[in-house]
Amino acid sequence: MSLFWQEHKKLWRSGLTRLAVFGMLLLTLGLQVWAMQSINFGTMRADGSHQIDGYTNIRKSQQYAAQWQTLTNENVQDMVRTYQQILAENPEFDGALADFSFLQGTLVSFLWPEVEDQNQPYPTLTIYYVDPARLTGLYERREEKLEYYLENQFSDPADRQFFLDMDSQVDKPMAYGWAAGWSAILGNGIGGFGQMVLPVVLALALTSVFAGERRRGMDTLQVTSLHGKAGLAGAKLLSGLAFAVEIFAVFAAVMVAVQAIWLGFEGWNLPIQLIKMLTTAPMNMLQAECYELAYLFCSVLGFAGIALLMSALLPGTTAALIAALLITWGPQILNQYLPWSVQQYLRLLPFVGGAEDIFRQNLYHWFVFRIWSPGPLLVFPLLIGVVCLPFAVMAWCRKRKR
Amino acid sequence: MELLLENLCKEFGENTAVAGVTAVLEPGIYGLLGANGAGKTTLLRMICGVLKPTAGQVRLDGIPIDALGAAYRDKLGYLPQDFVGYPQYSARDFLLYMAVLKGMTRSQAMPKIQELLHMVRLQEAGNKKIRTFSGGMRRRLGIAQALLNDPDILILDEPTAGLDPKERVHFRNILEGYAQEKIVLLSTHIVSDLEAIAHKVFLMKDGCFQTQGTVSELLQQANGRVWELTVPSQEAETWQARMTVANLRYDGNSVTLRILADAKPAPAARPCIPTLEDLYLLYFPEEEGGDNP
Repeated sequence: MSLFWQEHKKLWRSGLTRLAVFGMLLLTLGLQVWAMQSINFGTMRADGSHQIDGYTNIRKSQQYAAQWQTLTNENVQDMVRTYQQILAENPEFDGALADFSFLQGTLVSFLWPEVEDQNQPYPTLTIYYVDPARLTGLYERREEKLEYYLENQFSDPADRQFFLDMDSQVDKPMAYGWAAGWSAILGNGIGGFGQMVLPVVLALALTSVFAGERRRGMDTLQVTSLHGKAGLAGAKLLSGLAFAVEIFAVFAAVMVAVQAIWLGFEGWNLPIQLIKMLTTAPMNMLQAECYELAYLFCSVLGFAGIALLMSALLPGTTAALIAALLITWGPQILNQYLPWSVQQYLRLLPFVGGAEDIFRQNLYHWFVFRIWSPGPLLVFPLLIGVVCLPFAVMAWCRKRKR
Repeated sequence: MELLLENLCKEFGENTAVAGVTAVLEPGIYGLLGANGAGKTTLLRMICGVLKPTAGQVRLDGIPIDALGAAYRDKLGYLPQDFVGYPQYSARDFLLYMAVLKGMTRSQAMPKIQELLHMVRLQEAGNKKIRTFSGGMRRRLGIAQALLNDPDILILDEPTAGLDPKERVHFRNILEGYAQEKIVLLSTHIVSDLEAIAHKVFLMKDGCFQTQGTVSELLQQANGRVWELTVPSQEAETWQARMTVANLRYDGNSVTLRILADAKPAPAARPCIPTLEDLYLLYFPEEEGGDNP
């Protein structure tokens, strides 16, 4: 245990590690606060920039949306009618406070595209002028859209049925509330931002675990000490994994703290369909957030395994850093140019697939099983990391005694 | 306690770094003397178990060190040639880290660290970062870490590199005090270090021991092969090209040369009492540009 603590302390005492973690903290906190207070929820100025009043706007938006509790035809009509009334009284009204993007983008223009009138001054802004009475058949339309989408996506009827069965578990009528905050968190806040920041911090810190010892002439001292190669390798791996968990915890804590302060947890039990209407997963916002954090956690551990393996395999820290980052960034960059079947498997690498797959309909066909992608996207990065660990020990032990 | 080096060989591809070294080490101080590339570091690394010999083996009291494993490492203290340490650590923290690697508890380690910092004269710098240390201070820290576990076998690769003369004398005193009942093997090309303290010296060249013995035994080999000759100073270059010249001492228009040669180099040459440095140059004449003896 003592050896583990010494290795762990060593990791945290590295100047590069401290710099990387401090940079991550600053970037995460700064960007999240800026996003909440200005770019996502600040009042938009005429020039397209945003005021720094996100906190107040969020409260107003939540209060406004609380007028309706469920998503029914009647309520949708009432929402549009109310919106039109407010706009008539005050043409300068900031639509964001009345859930404009959900009403217009997620609901009306998506489910009732035929109401668009080219003779209107702003034809695409259908909620400005549509007769609310025309907005009927909400769930029937959604189901039609979903079936159409699945037909285009899958040739096998059984695949389509898989998602239709899943969708049948979504409660209808759906609960309603202000979901734009959750959308910002779940859309690319946790998953997307984590995918961008965490691999860099982990690679900078962990690729020196083994490779850095050679550079400092410490490797020979370590292998001639009582604990020997294997004992030390075990302590190094454990401390690397502990560091990865801590980095994840720091990142998650910052994200959740910013969320708690700016958004609160109101609406945790809203369905994720309020973010993307054709999502079939019967999940609420809190479950989705837990999934996204779990995805990041598994990817963090998986990537830590890869970084440690590269550190043990390659002769220098820089080579190990580049190799580890290429393993996750390479497929992310190349994926769009590759066939879907290849993409699907590359997405199983840590940080390559997305935490947002809970909003999508991606299937893996293994043997006779159909497996919805969020499951493998959790399990495989973790497995890859676990598989890397014994190879890292073997590489480190073999290199020491040629 | 007996450490047996049994026909040790090490090859790196086509290159032979160590070619069949055999020796028996019992408690005492042993010096390994040789030019750069003679195979000293490779030999020490094999003795420490860092490198696996291509052939032969190292035995401690008859048992191969591979079989002893942790029990052997527990008896070992090692200072590698390329020791750097962790720049972000203080000397004290670094020694604590090394103590844990050596299986010591914190309560065992702390008084020992204090004692060693004092011994290597780093007590004032104990809380300073290693990155601020001079080369000599790092070397002394390296020596301290090698002594942490009171090793029965102490292997030091170029321990005095970077130490000033006063520090070297202090280091020699430390070793002499330490070597009772312990095996100390140090490699160096600073001949005077060995002359002062080594009980036995191995002269290594091209991966082999060329000769071995106590300092006085080795000096016997140089007896009658070291000469002093005073010549006009303009002839100095000619003599240097022709013979191995260990030293030149100018005195006005003349120069006194210390020449290493099997036979009297000139009728006026006078025989001298040899030193270990003379012996070194007899075996490594190319370092001085003279002929091979």
